[in-house]
Amino acid sequence: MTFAQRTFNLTSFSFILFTSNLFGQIQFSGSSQLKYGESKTGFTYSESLINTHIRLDKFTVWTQFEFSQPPELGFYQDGLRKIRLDYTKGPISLKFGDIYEIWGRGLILNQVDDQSIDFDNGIRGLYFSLDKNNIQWNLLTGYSTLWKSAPTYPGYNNYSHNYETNHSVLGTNIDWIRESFELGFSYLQSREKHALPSWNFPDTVHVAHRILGGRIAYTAPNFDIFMEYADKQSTGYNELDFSRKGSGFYANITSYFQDWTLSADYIRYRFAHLSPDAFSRWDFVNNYGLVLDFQQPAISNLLHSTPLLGRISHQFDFNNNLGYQLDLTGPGLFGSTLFLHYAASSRTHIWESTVDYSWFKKNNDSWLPFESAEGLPYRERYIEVDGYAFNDKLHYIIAASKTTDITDIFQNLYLEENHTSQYKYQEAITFPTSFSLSLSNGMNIDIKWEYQELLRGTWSYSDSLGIVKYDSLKSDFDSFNYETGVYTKRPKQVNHVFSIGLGKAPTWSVALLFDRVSYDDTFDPYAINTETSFEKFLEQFISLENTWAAIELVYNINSNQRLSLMYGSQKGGLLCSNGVCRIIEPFSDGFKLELTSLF
Amino acid sequence: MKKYFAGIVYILAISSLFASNANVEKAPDFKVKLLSGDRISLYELLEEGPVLLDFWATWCGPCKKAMTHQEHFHKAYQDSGFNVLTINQDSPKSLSKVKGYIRSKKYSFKVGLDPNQQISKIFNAVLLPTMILIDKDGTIAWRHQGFIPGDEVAIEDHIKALIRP
Repeated sequence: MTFAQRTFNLTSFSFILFTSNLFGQIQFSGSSQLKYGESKTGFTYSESLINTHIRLDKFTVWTQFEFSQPPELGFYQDGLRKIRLDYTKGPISLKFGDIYEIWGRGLILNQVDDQSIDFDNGIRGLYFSLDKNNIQWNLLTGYSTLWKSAPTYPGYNNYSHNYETNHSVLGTNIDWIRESFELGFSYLQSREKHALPSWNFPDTVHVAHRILGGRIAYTAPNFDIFMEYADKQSTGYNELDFSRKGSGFYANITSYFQDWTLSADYIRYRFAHLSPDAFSRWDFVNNYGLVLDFQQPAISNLLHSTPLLGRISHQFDFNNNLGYQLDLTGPGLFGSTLFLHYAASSRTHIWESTVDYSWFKKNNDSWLPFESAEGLPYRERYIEVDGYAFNDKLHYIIAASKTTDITDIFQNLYLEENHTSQYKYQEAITFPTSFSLSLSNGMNIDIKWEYQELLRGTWSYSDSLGIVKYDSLKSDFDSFNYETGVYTKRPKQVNHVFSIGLGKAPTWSVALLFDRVSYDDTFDPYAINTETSFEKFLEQFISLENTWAAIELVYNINSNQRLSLMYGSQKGGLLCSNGVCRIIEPFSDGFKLELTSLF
Repeated sequence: MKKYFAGIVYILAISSLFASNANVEKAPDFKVKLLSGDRISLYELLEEGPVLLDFWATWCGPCKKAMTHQEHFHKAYQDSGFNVLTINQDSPKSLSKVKGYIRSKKYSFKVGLDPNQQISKIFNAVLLPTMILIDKDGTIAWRHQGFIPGDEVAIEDHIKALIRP
């Protein structure tokens, strides 16, 4: 972007701000987020996001400007990023511009713009709503360019997406709501230009997707029920002879007994049946007609917000997943709240491999998740107690989680009396805890400690004539020293995340953060080996081997402005948000600044 | 780097200018579906008295810490027409957890569902939790981002200032 264009953007933004405030009848509000980071890994970013809302009678204009060189994640942007005009009069509303909507529980449409992982499935177009006499009717049409990170497409990196698909979208949704009963139907169609790697001919194929679905909800005094079903068909056009059919089903029943709540979710998504090996299952470039990115349906496991549980989040495959979760919530000891959770999921079929590593389905669709490794099962048991003590001065959360996850399968070969299988196995026991103590004069101490024992590696199994030949795990953390020839076995990684903070409400808080692993798994020479002056200072008091340390200051300048400053190092790895995960680069010996303003 | 800090100064100046006018900003009206299945608009609720909007999600720890105090304020000042309206931000992926959480805590304030963050965008609630105190005439009286123990004192002071005759 040229200097003249940038000046134009800033001038037009200032013009909108000032003129809108000059005219009394125009209401103006907005927010800005400024982020800056600089680290020794070479990872430097500067990102400014400015949201504005201008309201005049029945009209609202929402704009989002981004000035980034580069952003924390994603592409460089200098100027207008999002814009929408909303008009509402009585039962009618009209939106023109960047549309983000949800129908039901997202089996057909669930749009988000999640900047923390740079995931945006918005549509630029028109949205019409009529809300009258218990009927809500919506009509959606527009275009969308969706970006994703694809290892199977040229230009893959951890910072910005490398793969683009284009969609022309048309959809409609109708809901009938009467007291505690709801009935809804949705239809969405998309004509997709699907890019293939450039060495293919043709390098673009055209796929038409049609999704039709319905849902029903009922709320009674002692229970709620919700069910949604979606049927999807994808066919090729413009010389592509291709067809794929699939469906998805979600149900939730929540029942209440006195102070206790029992919630059960069930999912059965079978939008596509891809072979279960790691290369095919996640390859949305060379496979088409898969679940659309506009579909972000409900999941059957917990969304965790603590760092260590976040890093081992189950990567949910919306194309093919079958599972359930049970949640029981009720009163615990000493006025606390007890939360018990159990989740089980797997693929809908078991697949067998052949000697040439191709795959075929072994059984018919299942209704309940598989337990055997062949079905790529996932299990989580989680218990949490949270409450207040000492006259509400101390707030505590104490939790424990055990997860087992077969994330990928490489081989599942049956030959006469022999069976050989090899798969990626992950098991973790995690204890997240949090304590906040209120002192006098608005002072408070905040302590968080999360402990995890993580087992991760490749499990190999073989039997012949009923006799097991081997059944063992090769840990990912084992190491081999090429100079000495010594092989060191490291069965599990022990991780700690600890933070201690002091704050004075409502003005400031300062926190020391430590993220320690027993064995480094980042393979980043800067991430562990670089010793910052801050770490040198801390090492006078504690050992910082295999530890990322940081100090963070949050200062509320006033009730509308909040400044956050971080100095130190942060571990990279998997960051999951809303069930979507992405690899994040480590941040070493640097500082991050974030200023959030409301105006 | 210089350009960046120039940008910060620019935004600070602009936002401070408008922040100084924040006490005359009118809250936009919206209609929200409540956890009970009913629908309510902000200005219907404002007819009773001031409203504290609190944007939260089940996966947000500080939000949960704040909510026990919101319940206390709701009960303590509802006779003066004051209401707490919490706006839940859970997406469909975790929406089924909301009702269980609220019932287990026996919270009596109203809980609105905003799964695609339409309302939070209107109010520019970029961080969770964000609290917005709205006077009976629709004027935004006070805002606060984040929650650390002790913030409840400032929240209550601002509520008291609004309900005082």
